[in-house]
Amino acid sequence: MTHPAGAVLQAPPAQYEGFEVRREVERAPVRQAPRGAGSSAFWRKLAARGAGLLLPLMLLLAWESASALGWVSRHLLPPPSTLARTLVELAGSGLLLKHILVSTGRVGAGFAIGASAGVLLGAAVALSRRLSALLDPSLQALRAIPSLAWVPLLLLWLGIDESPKITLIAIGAFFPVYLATVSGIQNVDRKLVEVGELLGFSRATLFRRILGPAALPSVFTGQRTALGLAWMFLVAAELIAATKGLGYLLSDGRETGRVDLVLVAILTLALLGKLTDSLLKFAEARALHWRDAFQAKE
Amino acid sequence: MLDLDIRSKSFGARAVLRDVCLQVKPRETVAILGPSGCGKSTLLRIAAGLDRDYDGRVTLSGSAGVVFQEPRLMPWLTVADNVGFPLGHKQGGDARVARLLGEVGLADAAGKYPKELSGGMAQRVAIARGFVTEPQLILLDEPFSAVDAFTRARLQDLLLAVAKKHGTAVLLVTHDIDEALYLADRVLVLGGYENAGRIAAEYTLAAPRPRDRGDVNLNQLKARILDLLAPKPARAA
Repeated sequence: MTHPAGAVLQAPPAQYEGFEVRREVERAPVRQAPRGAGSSAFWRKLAARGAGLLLPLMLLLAWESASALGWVSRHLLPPPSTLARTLVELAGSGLLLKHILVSTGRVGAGFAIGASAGVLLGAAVALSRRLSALLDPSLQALRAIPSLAWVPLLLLWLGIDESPKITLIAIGAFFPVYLATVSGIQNVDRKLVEVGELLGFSRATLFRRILGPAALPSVFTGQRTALGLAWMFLVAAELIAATKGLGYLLSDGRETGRVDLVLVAILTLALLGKLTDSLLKFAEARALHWRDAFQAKE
Repeated sequence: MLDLDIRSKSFGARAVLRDVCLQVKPRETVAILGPSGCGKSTLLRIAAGLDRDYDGRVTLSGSAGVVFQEPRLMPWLTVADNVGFPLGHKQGGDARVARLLGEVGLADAAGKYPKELSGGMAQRVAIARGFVTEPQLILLDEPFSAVDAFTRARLQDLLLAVAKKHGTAVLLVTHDIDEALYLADRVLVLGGYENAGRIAAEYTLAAPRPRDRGDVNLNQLKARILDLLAPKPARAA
């Protein structure tokens, strides 16, 4: 025979000197509640995922009807259906894929160079007071230059080839990562650093085993900012001098008066930006699964 | 084992330790007891080599492990890798780690991350990490002050068991008189008020461990220490 959890003992309480036991509960094994799975959780998850789509879908609908009702000029603002046709044409001819590959390649190369340099220099500056005194003032001064101001100089120095575009993107990606790495390392809990000091860690070991992993969340945040900037600078570079790429598609559309081309290029850029950010976000979640951070409720 | 002689230690104009002299012998458990702000944590930091800005000398023969007030675990490492942290990168698979995790009762939690641990579990991981290099001396800075009374009693017994098993000398800093009297062979009291930063008393406790937490003799000593640390009314001039 088992007692339900929390049942009061029926046996007469024992007598003690100085105190009396009036009642004590018997300790019974705790029953496990069944796992609350089921379809409602699935729908809630789907709704949470779909919530972000709601606004764009309503906008598209309003746009299409405004065009059909003749409220806006089809020339200045082609309806979504026309855009879809343009998109299919571009995709079918293989042109769109070519532009996407060229642009993605540029962003990838520029981001890789800029972000790596940002992590390396950021770590060096954060770890060494001497390097910080040497490098940080110059880097801060360079940061004050609006990055697009580099464009004419890069064109003069590097020609109109791939290199000025990749360099510009790298410059854009460098600073957010650099700043995030420096502040990430400088904000590492001193108490964790002391654990390394006790073990007699060298500066390199301290970085590898404590400062680096601890600064990783901040570095990831910097990289996501940098990736956004990389796409921005890609467009700037391709608008000015390019024969391929989504930025070229933009300027081509403008020159030939095809708003649908411009809009398709914008749409593709938005999707690519979102896609690459999601990839980075996924990598971040994988790498930082140990983090004990705030997560918003549904 | 540890021979420490601090003539003075100050932060700016404020002297926190004066003429503090103490030795810890192999396998001995010494508690440094004192009110908050009496400089006892500073004393332990000096013993651990984390603070070198003092007037005096410290000789430590052999290795020392340290357990802090907070667990100070690396959040990106599993429990096992945290325990193995002093051995090297990702040394959670080391046999010493498995043995110590068993001793602190966390064999099942080896693969967990610190965010999944309760305060008491995290502190047990920290204790295991302190012992993993098999040091001759372990330094503890108020290691149980952040956990509840039940967990504290269990962690104290755990510390006694692990230190005894490994033959480790213990230097424990605490503001908990019961804790000092329950654990230590020798209790050094750092004074407050006019005796701030000085050793105000030293007691040796012969009672075998594990001790009775309600022991009458220990309670008398507790009353004595409380009296010693109480502010003395100023004498009329």
